[in-house]
Amino acid sequence: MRRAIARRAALVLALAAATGVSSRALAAGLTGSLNGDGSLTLAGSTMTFTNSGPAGGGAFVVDATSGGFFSPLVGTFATLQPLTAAAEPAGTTVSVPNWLVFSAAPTVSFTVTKLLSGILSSASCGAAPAAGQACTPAGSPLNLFNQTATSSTLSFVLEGTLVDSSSGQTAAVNAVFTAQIPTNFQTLLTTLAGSGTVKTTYSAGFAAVGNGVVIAKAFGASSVPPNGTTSLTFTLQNASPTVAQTGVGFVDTLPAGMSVATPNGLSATTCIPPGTITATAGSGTVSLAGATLAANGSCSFSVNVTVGSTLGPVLNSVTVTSTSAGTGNTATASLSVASPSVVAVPALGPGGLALLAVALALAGAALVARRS
Amino acid sequence: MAAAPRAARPAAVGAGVLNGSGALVLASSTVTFSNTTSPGGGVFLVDPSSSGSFAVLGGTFAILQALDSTTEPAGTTVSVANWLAFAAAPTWTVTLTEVLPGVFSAASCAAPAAAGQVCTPAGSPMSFTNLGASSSQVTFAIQGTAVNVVGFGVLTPVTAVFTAQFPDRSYQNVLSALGGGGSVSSTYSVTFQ
Repeated sequence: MRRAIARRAALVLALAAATGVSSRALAAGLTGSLNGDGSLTLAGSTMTFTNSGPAGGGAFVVDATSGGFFSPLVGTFATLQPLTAAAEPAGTTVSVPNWLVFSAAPTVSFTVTKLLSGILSSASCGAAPAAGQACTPAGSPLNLFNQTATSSTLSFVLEGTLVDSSSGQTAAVNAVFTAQIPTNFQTLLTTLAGSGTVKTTYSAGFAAVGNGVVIAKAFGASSVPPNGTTSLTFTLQNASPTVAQTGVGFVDTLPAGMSVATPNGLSATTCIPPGTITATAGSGTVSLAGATLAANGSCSFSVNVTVGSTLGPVLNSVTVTSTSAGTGNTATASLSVASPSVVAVPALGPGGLALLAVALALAGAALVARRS
Repeated sequence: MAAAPRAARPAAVGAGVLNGSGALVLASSTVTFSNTTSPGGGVFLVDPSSSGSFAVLGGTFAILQALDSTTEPAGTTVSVANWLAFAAAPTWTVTLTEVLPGVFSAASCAAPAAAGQVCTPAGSPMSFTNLGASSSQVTFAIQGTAVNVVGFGVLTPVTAVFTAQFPDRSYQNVLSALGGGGSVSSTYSVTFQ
C-alpha cells in the first residue's frame, strides 16, 4: 500500500514537472469559485479551446477572481478537451472524465456529464439582423444574442463533477462559458454552415450546483390527539457559500382540518426583519415573504398548529422560492392524529409484586369473611 | 515584467479584430477592469486570435480605464481619451465615444428568477440573461475610435462587445447585490472590431 502511494506521489510529481509547474498546496473541500478565460474556436460541430496566455501554457488561465479551493491555482493553466456534437450532443447525459485538468493540481479534474441544450427559441435565427435578437438553433447548446446588428455573443452551460482523486472528494458543478463574435449571429451561422470556423476569446465560471435556498420543516410531535396542538418549525438555509439570497419566502397551506393555533405561538423569528411572517390564529396558512439569507446563512421560526378530529396520518408540504434563485426545494412534514393510548400499568419490581400479593390476599380474606 | 515593445507594426490601427480577456468588477454605477493573471501585467490580455493590425500584439497586455455611469452615461456621446492603451504599442490608443444602451427591456428585471429571462435596467448599458435559475450572463458594448498618434492620425471607428458570466447567480441576485451597494466580480472576454 505504501509502495502504491509512493508510486502515485512520484507520478504526480513527474506530471507536475512535465507541465513546468509545481503542485500547489490545496485546501480540503471542493468549495469556492473557479474563473478563467482562454481562446475558443467554433466550428459547425465542434468547439476547441486553445492557449490564451504565454506560449507553452494550457488552454484555460485560472483567474485571480477564483477563490476557496482554487486560490492556490490562480495564474496557472488548465487544459480543456474539445466538445463535439457527436460525442457530447446537447441535452444528453455523457461521461467525459478529465475534460479539464489542472497543470498545477494533477489530481483535480472535471468530468463533463452533460452539455446543456440552449434555452432560446430558433424563431429569430434566420431573421434580418437587429440588436436584441436571440437564437438557439434546433438541437444546439448555444445561446446566441445580437448585441448590435453587426456583433453578437454566445454562451453555453456544462454540467459535471469536479473530482479530487487525492482525497476522493467530488462536487457537482455547473460551468458557464461566454464569448463574443465580431458578426451578428446570422452571419456566424452562415459561416459555420459553410464549414468555416470562428475564433474568439471566452471567459468561464465554475460553481457548485444547488446553491439556492433549501427549506426543511418538522412538527413538534409525531402523534397528536384529535384537536390537539403541536408546533410546526420551518428552517431555511442558503446553500451558496458566496452569494446572498433575497426575496426568500413560501406559502404553506395547512392540510384539511389543521389550522394555526390560538394563540399562534410564533417564536424564534430569526427570519425577520426584513422578512414578513403571516400566521393568523385560526387560519389555514403560514407564510414568509421578503426574507434575506446571507451566504451560508440560515433562519428559522415556529408556530403552533391545531389538528382536526379525523384520525390518521397528515402530510404537509411547502416549496420555498426566492427572487434571486427562483424555485427551491419542497419539504414535507408528517404527523399522526391518534386517540390517546390506554394508560399503561407501570412495571412492578419484586417489592411491588409482594405488596400486590399481600393486598390481594387481604382483599380475598375480607371477601371470604363477609360471605361467612 | 513589462512586455517589450514590438518593432514592426502597421500604421492603420483599428483594422482587424482585437480579442482579449481579463477580470472585471461590477458595481451599481461602475465597471472596473483588473489584472487577470500575473501581477504587474496589465488588465487586458490580448489574445493570439486577434487579427489584422492587432495580430502582432497577441500575448501582450493593455490597460482599460473604468466605466462610470456618472461620466459616461449609456447612450450619450462622450470623449474619453486613452480609454484603452497598449503596453506593447504605446502610440496606439482607443478613445471611448459612447457606452451603448442595453438591448433588452426592464420588464423581467424583478421577476422571480428563471432560465431564459432577459433584463436591461432602465438607463443601463447592461444586457442580462438568466441561463438558469441560478446562473446568468451579462453583456455590454462600447463604441470608440482607434488612432496611432505617430501616424497620419487616421481615426478608425471600433465597437467592442464584452461578455461575462455568473455561474452561481441569477441576474436578480446580481442586481440585488449592486442595489445594496455591493459588487460582483467575474472574468470577461471582449472583441473589438
